[in-house]
Amino acid sequence: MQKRASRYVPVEHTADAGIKIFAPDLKGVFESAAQGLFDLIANLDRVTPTSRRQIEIEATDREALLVTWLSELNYLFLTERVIFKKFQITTLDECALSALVAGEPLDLEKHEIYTEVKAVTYHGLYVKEADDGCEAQVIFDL
Amino acid sequence: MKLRKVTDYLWEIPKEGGMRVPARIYATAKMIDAIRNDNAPVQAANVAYLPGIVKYSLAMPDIHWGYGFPIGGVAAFDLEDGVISPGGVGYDINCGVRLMASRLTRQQIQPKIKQLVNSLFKHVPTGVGSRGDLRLTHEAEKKVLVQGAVWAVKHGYGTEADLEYIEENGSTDAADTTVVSYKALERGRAQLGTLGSGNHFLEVGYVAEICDEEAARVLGLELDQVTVIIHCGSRGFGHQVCDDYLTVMNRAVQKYGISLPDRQLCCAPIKSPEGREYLGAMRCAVNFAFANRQVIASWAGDAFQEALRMSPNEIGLRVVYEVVHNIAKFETHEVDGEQMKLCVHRKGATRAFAPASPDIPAAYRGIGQPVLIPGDMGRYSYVLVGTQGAMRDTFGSTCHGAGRAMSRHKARKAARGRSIASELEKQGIYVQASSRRTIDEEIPEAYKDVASVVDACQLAGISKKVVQLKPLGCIKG
Repeated sequence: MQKRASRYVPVEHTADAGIKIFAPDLKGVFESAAQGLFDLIANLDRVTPTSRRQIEIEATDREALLVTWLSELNYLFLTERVIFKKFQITTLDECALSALVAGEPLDLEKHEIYTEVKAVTYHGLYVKEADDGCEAQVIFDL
Repeated sequence: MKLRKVTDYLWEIPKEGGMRVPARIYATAKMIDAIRNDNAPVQAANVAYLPGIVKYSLAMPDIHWGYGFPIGGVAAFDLEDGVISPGGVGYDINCGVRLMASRLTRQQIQPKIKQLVNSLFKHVPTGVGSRGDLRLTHEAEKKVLVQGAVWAVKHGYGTEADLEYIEENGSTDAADTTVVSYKALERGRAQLGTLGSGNHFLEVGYVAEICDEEAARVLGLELDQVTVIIHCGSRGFGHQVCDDYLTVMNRAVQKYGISLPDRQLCCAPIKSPEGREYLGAMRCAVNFAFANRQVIASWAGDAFQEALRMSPNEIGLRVVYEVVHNIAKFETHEVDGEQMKLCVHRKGATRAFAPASPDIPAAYRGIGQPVLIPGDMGRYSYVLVGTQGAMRDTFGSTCHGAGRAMSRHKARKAARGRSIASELEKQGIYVQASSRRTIDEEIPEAYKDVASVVDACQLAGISKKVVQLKPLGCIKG
């Protein structure tokens, strides 16, 4: 049977925004969650991924790893001003990951920015095995 | 969730399970049904599990679902055996509101509102990725973190006289820059003097109604007088401090064997190294926010001069008061007849000290501390004052705003096919924002009616209405 592609759906929340991710494996969860984060921040149709970089992350468990991964990407966006669009997890275990990501330096003339994500929260956070892969939820403070 | 009616404006969740004290929610009968449908009462009950909590876990009428603590939550902890929790302060440390009054009238400003709002939009950086003209080195930024608004005044933003009318006089002591991360410094250093996005704004309005003549006179507020409200906080610096210390506190919870119903409530004893470090870092963010609003206010003054071609004296902008609504502070309150020093967490709640309090400006001691409650873009905001009722029942606290009624997603749907900016313009309110999406997400109907929140506080006796303000124009992220 062919594996389904990774995807995410928005989670309705009164003050903020969240996403629920469905993926064939854990790597897919991490990649799709990053996609979800940047879809929230900017219109990615206008972003041409020209600049690439490697990211290494460690955390105490895989849920904290998901929060730390997304927080790191958001931090890089806010301080180095790069909008990321492509995410490839190269190695992943419970407490560490390395990834190749690509994006484009922020250009306020060209890019459409939607919102600022203050933080990636631990609220309602989970990463779990599902019948046909993995599922996760993460909520962002806007 | 069991909710027992205490009075017409107060509801109690009785102590059960691991709760150390009951939880109490201020609301009218009409509001309580909507509150019940939210997860927020459960969160108010969860806060009651925390070690050292005194009297009640409280929630103001604008209570809504937050992270760990509900928004609108107030909780006080014993300094000896109590805890401090970053979740009880929130990500936007020292998010707050400044109200300024001017010598101008609505009749003078209305015909020029477009020029004025455009000028404000030009002078005050808004939106994601906006960077102020201030680019600080880490060394300079650390001075901001220690001195707050005092740093801004020293560098030519506003005057010494402004400081008297800011909670804590615009600068909190015991800020410790050695416990702040490199990441927090990086996130903050280009963001001093920026409004940010989301629900933050700068609004030009006027006094539309006077509810308490005497208090309005003391505050120097008259009908049709033009006012400015600034609502923002400690920007990326504060967000990062909160984030950093949630990680520290998650470990502390295990170290000190604190059992919690929700991971986001993570905390540490106030006296522990982790607790003291968070307090030191949080105070740096408190000062960042004080400096931020002081700088923005100064740029707003420049924008008024440029747009109206008037002198600072003719415009006459002065600070009425500035409040903080996301903070933890050491305060002394009476508990069961005894004076007790407590660590009061206010998350989406405002300090509302009663008349005669030594912690409020001398000029206002006859009326109580001013409290500024912003509403949505289209309706109105309120100025209240603190009361003895608040001192007795809520550790000197009241509400902080309207609270959302719709998610951002729902608000965008409601705004689809409409131009919210033109709708507001037809009502005489001119809005400029960095992103159209922000205007859509912030449509007036996405918020609850702030009047009902303020009325509930007045009926419950925890604050008193002084004036209502209506908007003429506003800038957003």
